[in-house]
Amino acid sequence: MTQPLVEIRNLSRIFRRDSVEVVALKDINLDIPEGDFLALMGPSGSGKTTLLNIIAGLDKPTSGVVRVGGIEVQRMNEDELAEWRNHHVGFVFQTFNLIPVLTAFENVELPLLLTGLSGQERREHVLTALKLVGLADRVDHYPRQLSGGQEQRVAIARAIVTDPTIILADEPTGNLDARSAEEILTLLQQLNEQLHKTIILVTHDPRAAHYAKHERHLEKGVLLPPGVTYTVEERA
Amino acid sequence: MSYPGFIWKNGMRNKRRTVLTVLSVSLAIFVLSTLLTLVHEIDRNLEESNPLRLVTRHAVSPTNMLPLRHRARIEQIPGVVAVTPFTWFGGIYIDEAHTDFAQFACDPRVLFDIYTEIRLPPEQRRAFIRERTAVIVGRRKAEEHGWTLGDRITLRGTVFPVDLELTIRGIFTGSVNDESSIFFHHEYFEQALKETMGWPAFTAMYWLRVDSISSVSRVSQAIDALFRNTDAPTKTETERAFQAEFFTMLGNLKTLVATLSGVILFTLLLVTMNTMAMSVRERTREIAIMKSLGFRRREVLALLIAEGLLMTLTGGLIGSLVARLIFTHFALVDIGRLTLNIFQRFEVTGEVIGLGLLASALVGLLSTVIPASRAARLTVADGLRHLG
Repeated sequence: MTQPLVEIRNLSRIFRRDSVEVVALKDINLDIPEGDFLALMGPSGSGKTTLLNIIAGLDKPTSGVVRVGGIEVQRMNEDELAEWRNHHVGFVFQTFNLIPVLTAFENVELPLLLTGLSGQERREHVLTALKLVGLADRVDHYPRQLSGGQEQRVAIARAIVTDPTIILADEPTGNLDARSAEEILTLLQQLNEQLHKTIILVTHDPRAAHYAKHERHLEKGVLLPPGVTYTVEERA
Repeated sequence: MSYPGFIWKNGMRNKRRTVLTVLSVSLAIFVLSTLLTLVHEIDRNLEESNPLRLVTRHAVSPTNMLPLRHRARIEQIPGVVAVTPFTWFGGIYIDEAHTDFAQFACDPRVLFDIYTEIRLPPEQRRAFIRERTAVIVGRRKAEEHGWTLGDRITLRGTVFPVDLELTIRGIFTGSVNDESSIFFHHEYFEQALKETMGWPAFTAMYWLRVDSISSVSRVSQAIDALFRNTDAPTKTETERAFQAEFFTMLGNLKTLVATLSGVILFTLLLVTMNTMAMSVRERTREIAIMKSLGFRRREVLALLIAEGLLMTLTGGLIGSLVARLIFTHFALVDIGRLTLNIFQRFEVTGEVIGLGLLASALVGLLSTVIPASRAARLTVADGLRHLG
């Protein structure tokens, strides 16, 4: 049996604010194979984003182990994590998070500045990524000149331009209308199916989750068994 | 896109704020360059003084006059090469706007033994010595006023109640206040005062030259000892010490300049720090995004500091270059008139420009390092939660 790309063992995350302890994640165990498209679902405050942040090395677990590609993420220092993220992780955020003073091209090029590629090589990578998301004709547009859906597509191009091992998408359709959301989810699905990218999609929208190959649900920091969804009251 | 391009785009994201900050830095560095040039010019004036030249004045104050009889006794002291009575006239030529040169009454027969740096053709020197109303003028002032040999100039007395009609008989080169002074006969000055006001002859000072450095201290003490118990006691010192004392009379300029410079730089630091703090705070979320893309703490720090440096160095360059253009290149300010002819030159040197740039770089660095460090230290998760 091949080793899963993401291995999570007995992972817990407790936030301490003054004397109050909040258990964000409790004893999580999860394997995500390479090439999977997993939807992590749950209501607000269930721990979805916290789990995503820990997988990406943006947050440290209180206990437990996270391995991505065989590497224990929580053992790396900040500089090692930054370099690892640059090579292995692509982020897509709910609010797009493009740099407003940079064009679409420059936003996508930003992570490549750290790679040591030549200007010509960077240009080729950026144009390929923008073409993949269908924005080859918008390279010189600034974020303010793009629609929400287009901005998110630029963000996806930025996430894939370094050819990462895994793409982490945190509510990527949360700020989009239904039609744009559908386009973005279809794009993520294509990246998974055609380029075999491993994708973890955090969402509380069941329609978005249908684009993924698998769904796992979190409820009050606990990962529910496969096939079990969080309660209807919570969904409402 | 290159790193410099990225820094430039970030620096120009709020154009109005950036332009205003750059202008603040420019203005502050302009003032700083002016103050530094003032100190530089004082030092240069002192450095140009001749170590063999001594100045004897009244022990009480330079404004107290000395009798002419002192001269013969000073001349007899071993080691003294030449002595001249020396009085600053301070008259008006045409009007105040044209009066941009210092005027001294002296003995033309010994002037060139004391001011050995003065260069004057022999026939002009002879004409100057021969004619009681003759005057020699510095080349620079001759060019500026369009004076030629034989021209007559009138100095209207303000300190002394007498007008002097003078004929230009020589145009000298060499230094003496950057070829910007004029010299005429002390005897003519004495005679004019006597005829007009009935005043007895006197001199403001004696300037003399000694034969060697080893004579400087001995001669100074001998002169002062000679007149200690007379009605006109003297104080003798080197030309440099006299000039340094003269500048001190204007106030402790160096301390004043240092204090003003400190206040300017501190104010500038506060203004720039505020700008950078605002600029960084607005971008907290973006900085978190950059870190999520793989930028390390030191890269984020370097980018933000470079942005601060770009802004302050641009301002510093503008400020110091404008100072150079105004004071040195185009000489738009008549520094002679502005400083009552104390300074004839006001040169914003490369060294001053360098110091201005160094000051702006320090301001840029200090103002950015705190907000930039804070932003660079922030975790990605905390940064993403920021609502800026």
